[in-house]
Amino acid sequence: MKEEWISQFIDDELTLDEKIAFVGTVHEDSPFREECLDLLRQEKRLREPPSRDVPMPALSPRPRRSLLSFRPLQWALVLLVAGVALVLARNLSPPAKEANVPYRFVVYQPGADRVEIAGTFTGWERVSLNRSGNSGYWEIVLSLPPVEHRYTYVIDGERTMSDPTVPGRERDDFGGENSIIPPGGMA
Amino acid sequence: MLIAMGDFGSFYLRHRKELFHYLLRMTGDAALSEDLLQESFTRFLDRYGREDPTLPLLFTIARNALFDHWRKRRPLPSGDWSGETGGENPEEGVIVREEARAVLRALGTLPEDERDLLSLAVTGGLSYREIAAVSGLSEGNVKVRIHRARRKLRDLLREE
Repeated sequence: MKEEWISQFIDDELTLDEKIAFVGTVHEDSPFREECLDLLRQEKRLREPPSRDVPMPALSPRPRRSLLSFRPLQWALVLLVAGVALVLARNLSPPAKEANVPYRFVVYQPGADRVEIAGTFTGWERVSLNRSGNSGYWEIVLSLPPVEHRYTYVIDGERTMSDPTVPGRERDDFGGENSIIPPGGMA
Repeated sequence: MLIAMGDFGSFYLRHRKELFHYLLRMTGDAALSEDLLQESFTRFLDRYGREDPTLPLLFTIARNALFDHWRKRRPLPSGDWSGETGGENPEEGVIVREEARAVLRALGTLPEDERDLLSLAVTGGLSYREIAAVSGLSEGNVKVRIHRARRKLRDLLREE
């Protein structure tokens, strides 16, 4: 019992009475004190994070924006923006282009026959994910510029799904949500 | 427009690191830990949704995912608790700190249940009561086994 006080002390599991007894034992019992110090030093090594980096896995889907569902006013706005962009593109020198980086999109859909992704980087066109064996996962790696990206998964051509591991979201104009990856990714 | 992350988004950002390090301590394999991290959050969402996520439930799901993986892959890989990524190109994966590899190797030689309990205690911020709930053991049993694991680990690290 007394020996286990050391781990309870390390894990902050001692009651107040046990803490009193523990401190008394540390004071009086030299081998006990040495074991405490040994295990506390070990704990520093043990609790040191084993890796500096922690992956930010991409997972699930969200509602999809369909170009066909744009209303006429929205099409007019799109054309206006496109026109302005074209004029700017002709008159301004292009900014230095940043190198693309690989983004891995993974979603768990064991019952699906087809999983696609649609986003700003595909012009909201659907791109098929690849089934990962019999694991139930679907995945695709896309080489994308390190800018903000918005996307959704489409399951079996109908159901849209947002990515639960990507906290950034926006509501689209059609009752759904798009996931948002900030510039530079999620790390 | 970015909207609020919500409970689950905050929960994910707050706990993915400790869950990943728990899995790394359990497996010694960064690439496998990354896959299990992803699977754990996916299972969580699939089965429990976004409302009121709890840490003990997350660790319960992660342990189940890990044990499912081990059941499918028996026998367990042994003798290579180097913390390498295990992938074809380790440069692309998470790199385990050099100074942590001895600890991972020593953890890898502990009995699976003791490694599990100690990893839960040092990684997840779980109380003994929560670890008891996650592991299905009594709180008293958890207390005894965690201390036993620490002492074994000390002996193993002395031999390094």
